[in-house]
Amino acid sequence: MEYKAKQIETNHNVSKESPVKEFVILMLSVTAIAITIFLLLGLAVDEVVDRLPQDIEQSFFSSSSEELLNENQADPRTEFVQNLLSELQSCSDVSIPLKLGILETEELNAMALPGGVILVNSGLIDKLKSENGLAFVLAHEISHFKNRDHLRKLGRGIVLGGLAAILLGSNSQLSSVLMPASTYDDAQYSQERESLADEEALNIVSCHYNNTAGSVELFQLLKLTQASGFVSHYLASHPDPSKRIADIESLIKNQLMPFNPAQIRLLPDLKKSN
Amino acid sequence: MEQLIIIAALIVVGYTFGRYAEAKHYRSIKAREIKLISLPCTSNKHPMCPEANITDCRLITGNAVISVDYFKQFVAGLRGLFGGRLTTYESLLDRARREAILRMKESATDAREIINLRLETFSVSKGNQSNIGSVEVFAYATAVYIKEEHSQIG
Repeated sequence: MEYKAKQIETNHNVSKESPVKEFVILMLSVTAIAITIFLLLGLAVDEVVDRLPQDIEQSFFSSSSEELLNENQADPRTEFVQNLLSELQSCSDVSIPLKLGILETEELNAMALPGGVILVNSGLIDKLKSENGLAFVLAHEISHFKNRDHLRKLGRGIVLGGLAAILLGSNSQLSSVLMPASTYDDAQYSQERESLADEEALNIVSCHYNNTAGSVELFQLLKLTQASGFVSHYLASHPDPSKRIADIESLIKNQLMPFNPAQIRLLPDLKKSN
Repeated sequence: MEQLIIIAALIVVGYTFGRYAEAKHYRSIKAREIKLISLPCTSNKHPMCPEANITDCRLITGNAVISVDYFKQFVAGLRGLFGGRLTTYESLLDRARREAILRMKESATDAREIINLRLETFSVSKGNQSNIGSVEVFAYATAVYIKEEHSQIG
């Protein structure tokens, strides 16, 4: 046996494919699959939610929401806003009694929870000046409840979060990449629901006050405090405040809704008793 | 959104520096392989030279630890969903193997030949079992020395 020194010309242990090409193909496949699955599951959630009656929802969720309400019952603001909520509700298609809760926080926000609870932040009540403005916010949340948007968001969140957890396990890098794909889809869907809620809220307010003036007060406040960037607009869960104001104003004009700025009711001075 | 930008930046940095380091390493490997090419290294049990000439034999070892960059790790993660050949890790292990063998050879340049080559591979994970942080290749063999007038210097 003899040894002949010879250099190996080609390396058979390494693939010649470009790693960048592989990366691009894999990324596109994963993103496309994630978007498809999310869309399909979103449709499924929508179908289920549309068929869930309001009283059944209340019996499912009321126990968890009740705890949040018990803290604020003595607050004089709660009574006032609860009355306003009940009055507005009579102008809507919501059959179960909605309950009001106030969260002590500065943020300008309100939300509808499963089970028929509307939470309003104290910061919002303190900063709004007109009853019409506050009424529009409540009517907006009533519309969300009627359209079952809170259940949709809950369902979609569980579905995508659960799917990501099952598929990816503890590989959080991958799930944080999939998040933007779903966030974009989620944001566009969410913005549609917000616009729909705005439209229906306008009808409720018009029915109750026979006046739609003062409805956009919150958005005018938000315009001052929020930074609006081009990208964040696409990924935000709510449409840009300027757009919401414009849409509402054009709805008022096109549908010839009553608009009397002179008849805007101001909020009474509601401060906590202690 | 910020997370996506961070990940994209890590991928770009990983790719750029990873490719540069890999190219540099391969150049070094090829150059050293050419230099040591006349030193036979096989996994044979018996040496090629006549056994009567053998004066000395020794265990020699070579060790190399190579780490993955973020780009390779990311692609490996994506591959984990679909299955298939993990081409990004192929070059990593190839380099580690060849480097380990070269280091082993370099520790016995005056040997007549190297027999009974064995390779062992270990993965050094950072603690997270699903990510292979780096890979270690350990090469060991027997270096065989003969009387000086017949020895070859690699």
